[in-house]
Parts: sequence; structure tokens; C-alpha cells
Amino acid sequence: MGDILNGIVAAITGVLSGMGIGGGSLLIIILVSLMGYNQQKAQGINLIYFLPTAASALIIHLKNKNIDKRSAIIISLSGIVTSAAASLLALKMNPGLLKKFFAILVLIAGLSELLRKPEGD
Amino acid sequence: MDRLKENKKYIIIGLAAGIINGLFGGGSGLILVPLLKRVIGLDIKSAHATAIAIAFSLSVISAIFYISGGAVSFSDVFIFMLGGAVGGAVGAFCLKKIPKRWLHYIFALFLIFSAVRMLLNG
Repeated sequence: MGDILNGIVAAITGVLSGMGIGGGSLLIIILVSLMGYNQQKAQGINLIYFLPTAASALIIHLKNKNIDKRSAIIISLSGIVTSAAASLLALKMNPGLLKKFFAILVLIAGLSELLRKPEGD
Repeated sequence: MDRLKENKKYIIIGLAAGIINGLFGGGSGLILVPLLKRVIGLDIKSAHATAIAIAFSLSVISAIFYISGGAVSFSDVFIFMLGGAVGGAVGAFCLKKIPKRWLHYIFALFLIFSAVRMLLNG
């Protein structure tokens, strides 16, 4: 039963992701707020869940030469350092506190989504 | 000197994106897309594509730490991937049939509502 519910949750976020609307934050929110998952576990699920989807999108973007190589390489290399450090920090942090920080990120995401001009849709 | 200054922008964007990705297990696209557009000067399409490439590299590293730290395992995620694949296909199919602008507003309000709820409740 739990598996069926998880699959439905994933399908709903998948529908929105497929339409280009941020599914990642949505998955973490549902897992933590509605299903009672631990914040770190929900974030870990989101990380792994993202990889195959992103990989398939990347293949298409590489074929169409949409990726700016210089940005991708330099930004990734510097980002790897802080993502490793921040992951270690997140794993050590109190889940309740991490949830509060995450809520602030979601609030910013919501406000920017609300104020965004509907360009290029 | 100019070259160093130019690379500095990329490095700072990377450091910031890495912090968000590692700390929250995603969400770096939130800052990457606007920064790639405004600071680096990419057009919308390549900003999105490049953000996915960067988020992918960062997520691989973060995922390794989350898995080795015991926060999550592959078996936790399998069912989500299955549902996500089905949902993603349906979403791509529905893309042209649903008024996207309204969906964005509903999504934005849902995010704000959830954030406030998470901040107020424990």
C-alpha cells in the first residue's frame, strides 16, 4: 500500500516535471509534509530521482548543442566542492532545523514563481 | 586579469549552486537559470539546458554523500522512479493541452502555502 501511494506521488510530480514545472521541490514537500518522511531521506530520494530524468534530458540538449560548455564545466567544478561540504552538513543537521531552511528556499521559489513574467512558455 | 575576473563569476555561481544542491538535495536550478541568463548572458534555452547539466553533476556528488551517509538507498527510490517515468510521459503529453500560466500560479501558491506551513509547524 505504501508503495502504491509512493508511486502515485511520484507520478503526480512527474506530470508537473514533464510540463516544465519544478517537480523536485514538490516531491520533497509532499514526502516531508504529507507523508512524514525525514527531511534528509526525502532530499536523498529527490537527488537520486532527479538523475535519470536529467540524464535523458541532457542527451537531447547535447545533441541540439544547447549547453554552454564553459559555464557547465567551470560552474560544475567549483560547485562540486561546496555540494560535497553542504551534503555532509545537511546529514549532520537536525532534521527539524533543515526543514525550516528548506521552507525558506520553498518560500523564495514560490514568490519568484508568482512574480515571474510568463516569458518563453 | 580580465580572464580571471570573468572566471570568477562562474566560480562564485558554482559555489552558491553547490551549497543549495548539497544542503537541500536539489533546487540549484532556482538560482542557476536566472544567473546564467543575467550574469553569464545565455539565452533562455541554453540557460535551462546548461542548468540541467550543472545540476546533474552536483546531484551525482551529493547523492554519493547522501547514500554513503545512510540517509537514503537505491531501493527507497525505485518506486518513485517508476511513478516519475509514467508521470513525466503524461506531463509531456499534456503540455499543450493545459493553460500553463494558471498552473504556474497554482503551483506558486502551493509552494508559498507549504513553506508557511513548514515554518509554523514543527
